[in-house]
Amino acid sequence: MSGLIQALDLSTLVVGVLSGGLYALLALSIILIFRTTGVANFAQGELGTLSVFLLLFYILPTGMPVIPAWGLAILLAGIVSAIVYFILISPRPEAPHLNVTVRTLGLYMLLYAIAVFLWGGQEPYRVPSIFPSQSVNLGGVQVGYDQIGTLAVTAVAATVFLVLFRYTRLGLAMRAAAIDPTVAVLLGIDVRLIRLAAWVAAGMLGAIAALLIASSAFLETTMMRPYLFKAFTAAIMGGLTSFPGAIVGGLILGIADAFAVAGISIHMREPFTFAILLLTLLLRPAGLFGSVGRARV
Amino acid sequence: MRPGMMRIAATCIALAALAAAPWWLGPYPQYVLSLWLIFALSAIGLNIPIGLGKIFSFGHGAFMLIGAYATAMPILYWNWPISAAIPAAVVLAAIVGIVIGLPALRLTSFSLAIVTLSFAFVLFQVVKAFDFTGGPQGLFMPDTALTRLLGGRAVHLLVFACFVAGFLGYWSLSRSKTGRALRVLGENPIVAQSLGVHLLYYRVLCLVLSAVYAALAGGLLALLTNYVGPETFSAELSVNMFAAVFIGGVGTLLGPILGALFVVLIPELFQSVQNLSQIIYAALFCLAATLFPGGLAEIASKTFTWLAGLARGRDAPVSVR
Repeated sequence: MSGLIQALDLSTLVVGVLSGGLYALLALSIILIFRTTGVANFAQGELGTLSVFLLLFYILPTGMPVIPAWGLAILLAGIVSAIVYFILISPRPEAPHLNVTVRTLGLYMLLYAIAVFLWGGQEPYRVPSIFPSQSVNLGGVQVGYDQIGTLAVTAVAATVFLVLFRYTRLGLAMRAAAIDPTVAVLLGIDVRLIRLAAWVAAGMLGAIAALLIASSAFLETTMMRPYLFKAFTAAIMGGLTSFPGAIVGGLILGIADAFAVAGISIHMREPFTFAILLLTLLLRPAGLFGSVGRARV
Repeated sequence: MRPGMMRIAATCIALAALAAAPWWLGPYPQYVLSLWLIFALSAIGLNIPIGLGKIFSFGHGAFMLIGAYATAMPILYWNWPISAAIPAAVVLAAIVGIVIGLPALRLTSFSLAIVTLSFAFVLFQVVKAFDFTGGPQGLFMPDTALTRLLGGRAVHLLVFACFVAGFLGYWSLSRSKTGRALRVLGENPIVAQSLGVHLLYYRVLCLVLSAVYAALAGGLLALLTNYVGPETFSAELSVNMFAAVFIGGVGTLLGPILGALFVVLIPELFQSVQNLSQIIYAALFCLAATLFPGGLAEIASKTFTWLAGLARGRDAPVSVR
């Protein structure tokens, strides 16, 4: 009996870490845009959904193998993000941050409406996974290769991103532009280019998260909603500007809601997350890793 | 007749025509008109935090949901009269507004944006999950004395009265001491604080007032449609309400009313899942947010002054903005 409970807890933990990793990946892309452009990107989830639809309806029908097709979809997400930046974000740069946030809300509406219009009739769709469908027994817990693969891809994507941000000239320029755009310009950094790079990188991270989510469940037009909600919560828990904070926040959230689902009820997952969000704002307004002085908007 | 008098006379005629709509319109146009007034009332309420306090609340639909369910459930389960159910729903929404607003409004508007949108999302999930709230099917309300009165026309009159009261409420608020305090707070919180404006108090007040408007609108919606279902109050509704105020013109008197027309007409004109009009609406919203922050009201007033200038044979006046 106790063995059963332990196995249940371990598999719950695996599920929690898995979804926590996806929350963290999406939270990274949100924080990247927030740090460089000062905008809460509400369209991040829908941009990811769009890239999965592009994969399913335009890339895979050409007969391309699954793995390069995923790569192409991620690349396309970067291009779409760049277009969004030029059309929607860069006009009227003197507008306050909150106005630009409202624009992303408009984009969220627009992308969702387009997805429903074009593909909403026959949802949900099955998206081919790049991982084999077998599972393996790890210390008494059945773990699917797709779960291991998802975790691995999440970890690699997050690591690559963090290394780029920490150790390359582009990353340094991004950090400079985030701290003070005016000084960055004086130092010879093209802030517009940096912001464009941030949007492209965030778009690609979001697409990776969306592809992993769609292939482990189903592709639906509303697929990314709960994930975006949790990614925002994770970002706030991490203090809104801290990448490690977002990863820790995402993992805590993922594990906590996996146990809430297993222990209480599936319906308690979203209210539970919301309670965590409110409690974090109440007890540690600057997040677990942030400081109040960095607040923007 | 002086232009001012003419404007007042035109307004009075328009209002009388609106109030008397059930007697000269067919049942369907009358229904759409009532819907419009309800959503306009809700949008006017949302204009208080957005337009005056520059506090962006993305969860307006959640307060409408509270209003609708809190009106429907006591009537359905405990046979409350409407005159008790709607005020109780409004009070409940105000309390929830305080609970949500206190932690979120202490912080940046960024957290508020996320908390309010999350709130709308969570509440939608919650009412969908429980049998008590009707689950995914929603709740069907019984016929009440009011809905039968005057052959169903009484509901329209009630909606109309609430709309006029809500409009006058916003109008007087925007000119009062509170309204001025909110405007200063919206422009510059530090200046507002140094002038003795209690930031947290006024911010929470903003959100609570918008919650009151939304709950009233939600309750009226439940009465009008005789049905309360989760799909009406999904996160889309919150975003659509926000877009209505933004497209109509933030901080203007007539803008939200114009914007609400879109929210109502789009699903009514194109009743299908694959809905092209939603795309147009979203594109308009993007356009208003990106290039025309004044929205439709600004465009309309510019066109009007330009036409008036043409009529008087002068050059079009230079835009103030």
